[in-house]
Amino acid sequence: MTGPAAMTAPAPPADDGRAGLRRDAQRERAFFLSLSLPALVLVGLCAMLPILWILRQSVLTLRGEFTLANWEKLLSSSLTWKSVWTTVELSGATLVLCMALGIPLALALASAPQKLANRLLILVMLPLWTSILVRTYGWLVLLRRDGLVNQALTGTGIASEPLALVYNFTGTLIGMVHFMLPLFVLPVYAAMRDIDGNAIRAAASMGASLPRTLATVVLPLAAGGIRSGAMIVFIYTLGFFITPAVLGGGQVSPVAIRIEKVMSTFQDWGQASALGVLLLILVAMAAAMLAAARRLAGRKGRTHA
Amino acid sequence: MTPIPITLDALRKTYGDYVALDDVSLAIRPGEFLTLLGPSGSGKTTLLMALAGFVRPEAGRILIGGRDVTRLAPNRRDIGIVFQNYALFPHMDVLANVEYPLRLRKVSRRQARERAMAALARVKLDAFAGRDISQLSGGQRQRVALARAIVFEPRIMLMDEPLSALDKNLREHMQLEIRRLHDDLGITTIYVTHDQREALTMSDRIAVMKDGCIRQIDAPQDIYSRPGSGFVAEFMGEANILAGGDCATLDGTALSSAATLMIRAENLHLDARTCGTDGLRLEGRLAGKAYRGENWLLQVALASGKEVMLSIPAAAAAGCETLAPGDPVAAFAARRHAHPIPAPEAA
Amino acid sequence: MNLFRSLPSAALAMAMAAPLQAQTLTITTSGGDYGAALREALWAPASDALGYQIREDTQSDSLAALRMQVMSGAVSTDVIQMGSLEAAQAAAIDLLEPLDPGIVDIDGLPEGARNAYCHPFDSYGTVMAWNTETYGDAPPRNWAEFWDTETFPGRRALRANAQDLLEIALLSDGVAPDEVYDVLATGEGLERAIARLEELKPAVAVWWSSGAQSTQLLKDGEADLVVTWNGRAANAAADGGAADYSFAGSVIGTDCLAVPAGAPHAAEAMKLIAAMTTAEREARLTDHILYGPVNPAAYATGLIPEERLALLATAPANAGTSVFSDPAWWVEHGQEAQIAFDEMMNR
Repeated sequence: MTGPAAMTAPAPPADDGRAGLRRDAQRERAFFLSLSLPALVLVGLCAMLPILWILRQSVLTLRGEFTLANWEKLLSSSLTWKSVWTTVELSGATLVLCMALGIPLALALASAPQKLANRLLILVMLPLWTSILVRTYGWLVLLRRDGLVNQALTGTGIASEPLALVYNFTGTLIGMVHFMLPLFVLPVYAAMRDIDGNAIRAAASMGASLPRTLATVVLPLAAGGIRSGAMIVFIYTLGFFITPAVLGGGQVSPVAIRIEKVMSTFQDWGQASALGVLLLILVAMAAAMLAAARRLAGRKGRTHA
Repeated sequence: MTPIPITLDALRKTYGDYVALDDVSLAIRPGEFLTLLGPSGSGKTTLLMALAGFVRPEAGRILIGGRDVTRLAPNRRDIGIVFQNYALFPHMDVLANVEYPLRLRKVSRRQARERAMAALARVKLDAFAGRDISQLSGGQRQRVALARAIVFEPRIMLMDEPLSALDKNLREHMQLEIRRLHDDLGITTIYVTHDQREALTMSDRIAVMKDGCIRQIDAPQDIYSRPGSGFVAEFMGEANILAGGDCATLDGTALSSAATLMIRAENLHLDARTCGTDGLRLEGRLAGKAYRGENWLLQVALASGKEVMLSIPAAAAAGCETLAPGDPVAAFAARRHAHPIPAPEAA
Repeated sequence: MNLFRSLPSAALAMAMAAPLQAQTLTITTSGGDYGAALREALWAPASDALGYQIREDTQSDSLAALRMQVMSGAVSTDVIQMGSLEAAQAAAIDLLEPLDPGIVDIDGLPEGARNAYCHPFDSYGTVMAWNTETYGDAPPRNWAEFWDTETFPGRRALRANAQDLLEIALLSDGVAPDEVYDVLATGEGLERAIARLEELKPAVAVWWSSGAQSTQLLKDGEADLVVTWNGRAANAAADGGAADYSFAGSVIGTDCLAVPAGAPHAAEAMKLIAAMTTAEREARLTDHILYGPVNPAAYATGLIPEERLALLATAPANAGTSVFSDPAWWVEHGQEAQIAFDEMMNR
């Protein structure tokens, strides 16, 4: 409450103090911003320059003249759209499998005693410490016609003849899921670890069965982690090259493989760059969709159970 | 709904060498508000969790309303629980939180809403139904938790230190509110706390626990003024425990070495007249003093080396301000306030 | 220690002294063992004979390096080793000087190998390889038999690339080796080749993408019939795989030497190329690597041992059944051919 005196009097000292505080806060922000500026510029340059270069390259002929032919050729080719579809199909299938395997895995880890969980986590993370090439070739050895898996299947009579597990979509998918699973499990596990055990107990005490508790409490509360994991898996796999190259047997050609093909066969920088830009657009679209999904889920989750 | 009794029969739970529940037996009356009181590690929370079904006892039985629920899953026990950290669902708004147990019970959407709003009205939060949990204060969150625990009319209520995260004023206010809620609903309630004042304020009976055992179970007044042991005496409040060698006289004669007496700090006076003619007399020197608003605390060192605590109401503390450490002090207590207890346990 | 300290100054002295004594040319190769072989067998003796100093540069992507140099106007390379297809691409966008037929003996090469911009000097074959356990002594002897999945059942593995496979498809369809590009030059030729590949497609288990992969497939018996490069087929056998291969009907690819447009010492570079590709030096190159000389006279020098002839794509015994890959056709139609090929794969 300010009396008439306070209104006519010059600005009370309390206001002065507040303005000073605000100024200080601003100055501090500016200072920290200026500290991070060199890093921002460096990262910006390192990230943006190659992208700009690729953009430029995509509208140049081999002789370096401006052209839109690269894009016309690319967008009118059924091969492009087929490879885009394959890319989305691969990433989507990898994501679905990672979720199907990763969520129960994360759940098991999160509900295990901390000590055991840490040990299991090391096992889950182990693949991350080996080169992707080694792992991919490892799968080749396991999955090929006379590989361990087929030997086991035919030896036990489950399959009468070796199954085509590799050099196709299946093999590629197995390799990609194996690579991505730890990266998916980590954020989901972290999110589940953070869930208040009492919230789960509360749900049970109110009469929720285990599946019901999972559906109404655990999964919604882990949704942030699941979304992060999904984002990592989907976007990461959009650019996958080695796994489809080795395990796809030439039958699986996502955009990354097409880029390599266009480059290695014809050194067609223009076409390859245009494909690269297309891949970038694909990634941006996926990120935007996931971000939109997050916003939507955020709004919905507040009002509904 | 008629209140129901709970019976615990020789409940036992160990974690390795650690005995969390040491054959605990307990009979809780229908509609009773019983508090489990004890220091941390005394087993009170384990007992509560065993009741709720989250801890499986190795031996013993739990009967709720005469039915053996020892092996029953938590979600089938029909128990309302209020947790220390509220355990609200942050991804649901206030109303959805309170509706949750009703939705589980397949109550129609409309009815669930009505009942949830009624429960919220009971804790005076009906205006907050649409809020996010993150927009509520600690006290409001605890009320939502309460509403959620009562909305489905559980047969019993368990509360695990529900107020310990709140500040003092709010806590005291909520104590009365919870007690009133209990009186309205008549649900048999078990309440865990380590705060003896809270236990005294709220309970029909208090069970004091230590080392996985119930040391004493009694009404608040009884447990406060007639503790069964030194531990209970000291845990329930400022207690002075005097033994034979402590230079005290009772009715003019020195205490026998076998007797152990407990006198609450507020029952010791500087003025012998307030205590009548016969009673306890102590002599010593002032060791320290502290002003606490409504009273003064005086520490008096007896010749035996033991220190006793006096709590003198501010209104009767005319001489306290001038007392200095080292000054001789004589303290008196009425006979009826000197409560004999068994000799102190080796601590 | 003294040696180390004096090294930089020695290098400096040499660099300054060089222009006075002799021309210094820069040669760019792909490096590694291959580059070392080129040095030992070709340019070191050739430059000694001509009295040139040579600076060696290595680039894994010769076309990219060439583009960079020519487009920036800072050409430092005088002689560059390239794959013939890359070279044809480079020539098509004016990155190469035309060779001087008066200095470089273009007409001395077999007809299919002649090139006005890049002089081929060694060769490899895209060959048929097979699993000897599957076929024993009776493997397919030509491409027509390779296509015959009834007589020769088994899993095929082909490179996921139109190059060489179009030629092979036409050979399998009865086109004579010297008519392959005539047929391809007609519009229907490409369609015919693609249709022929599509016929085989159900029997193709793997479309491989790296040479190492083709070796692996052959060695592990994952595929019974593999179209791969002769070096890769030889590796599979050398690594203990039950594998063999034949140059019959092979498509021969070549590496060549070219002079970048605007090279600082173009005239001397032509002379160096001529000196590097003499019959004797190309024959000596096979002491280091199993790449067949393109200069037919090399086989007449008597410097290549009898048993080695079986390992060289251009050995006289293979002449008549094999086809030199035509870089000019591939530069002009490669993109179109690859797209048709990829669409066939996707069908």
